[in-house]
Amino acid sequence: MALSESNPQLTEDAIVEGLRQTGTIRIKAEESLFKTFDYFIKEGIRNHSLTREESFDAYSDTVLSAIDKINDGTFEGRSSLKTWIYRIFQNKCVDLLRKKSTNKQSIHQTQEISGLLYMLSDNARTIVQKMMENTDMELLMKRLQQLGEQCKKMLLAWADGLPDREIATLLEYKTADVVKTSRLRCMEKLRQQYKDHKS
Amino acid sequence: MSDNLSYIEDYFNKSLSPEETRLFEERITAEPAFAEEVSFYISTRNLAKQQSVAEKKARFRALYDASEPAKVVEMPGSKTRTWRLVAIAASIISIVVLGVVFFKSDRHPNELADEYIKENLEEISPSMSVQDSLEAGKQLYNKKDYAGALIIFESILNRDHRQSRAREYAGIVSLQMNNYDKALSHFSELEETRLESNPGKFYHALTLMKRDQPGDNELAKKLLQEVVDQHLWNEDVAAAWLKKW
Repeated sequence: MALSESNPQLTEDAIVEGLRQTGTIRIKAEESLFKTFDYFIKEGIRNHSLTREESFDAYSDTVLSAIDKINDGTFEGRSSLKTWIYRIFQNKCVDLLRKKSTNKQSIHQTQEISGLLYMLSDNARTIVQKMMENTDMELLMKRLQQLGEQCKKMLLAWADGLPDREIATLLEYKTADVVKTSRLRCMEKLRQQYKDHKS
Repeated sequence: MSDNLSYIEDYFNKSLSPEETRLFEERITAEPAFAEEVSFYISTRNLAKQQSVAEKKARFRALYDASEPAKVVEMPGSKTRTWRLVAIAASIISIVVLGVVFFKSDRHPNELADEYIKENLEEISPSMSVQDSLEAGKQLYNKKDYAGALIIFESILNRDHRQSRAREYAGIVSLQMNNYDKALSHFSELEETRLESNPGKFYHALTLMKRDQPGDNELAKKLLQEVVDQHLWNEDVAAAWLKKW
């Protein structure tokens, strides 16, 4: 079945294909993925005794994880999308139950451990991680909100893993190089504004 | 523009040679200012990713709530439908604020909760004090950037769990996002805080009325009675609702 914006329920192949696109096609594919298996939420409530909110959170995290894995090539299509997503969802539910039983839920982690951090050597990682713990994330968030819509959209797309050439199409820039320059300029502006208000 | 950001990006994109990679990592240990720039790069990516995830979750929630509403259908035998139309025509704001009972019939608790949230929690009034994190969170809330506002309020709480205003607002944002468990957690904690005028119990009841799961309305009614008996915040509204129950 071809991709169609008027057809909310796409086939599994169409969903996977759509998630590798950008713009409204990708958004439609994300929403279609969510809606196709959202009956898992009721299963989470029934089979794991989760509340509606907990099951919804586990399922949302599942869908977001699936989107990342489809885009980074981890999902190779060896099993059906349904089987694969169901497996991720079960694991999320078990993780959630484990957190509840050990009472380790925190209100909000200051910063999640980033994959980028683990690219550094041990010594470098220790130094950078300590500095990250002192980052005023509230202030950084405020400055991000004040950066302007275009900068914000660009940084969010970049953080989502979109390559610069796709960001160029999405945000109507001429080339990937222009996107990279603009993005680094936005980051430098953010950094200056953060430093100015922190001192 | 600093050339370091481009250099840092080349490292994380694995565009550097093995020797250049080694020099990059040595520079982190030798130059604190450079290490700080690397820390900033990663923190920015983390924050942007967090915001992107929050926006997507909010979209998913809207989709799910539209297809699977958590509300329960009106109680059998009630005249709530007719009276709801009368309420819209009769200026809801004054009725809710003054607690004046214009309704001659019972109202479903879930409708009372919806009405209150719409009339009283659409905006949080900014104060005239110096810009601070709380104000920034309120601004985001008032722009309906609930995900962003929640990050700010919960960050404040992470630094100092005694910040009762941040807890109140975190609960309200969670309620607006239909994240009832989180809202209940914040409001329950707020109830235990010593405050001159503690809104925790009232908001706790409001959240239960909105969630409307089996047993919620009974517990909400009990809490509203406690609000009245103990002369807590919004006791007039609680009293008016109990009469309509």
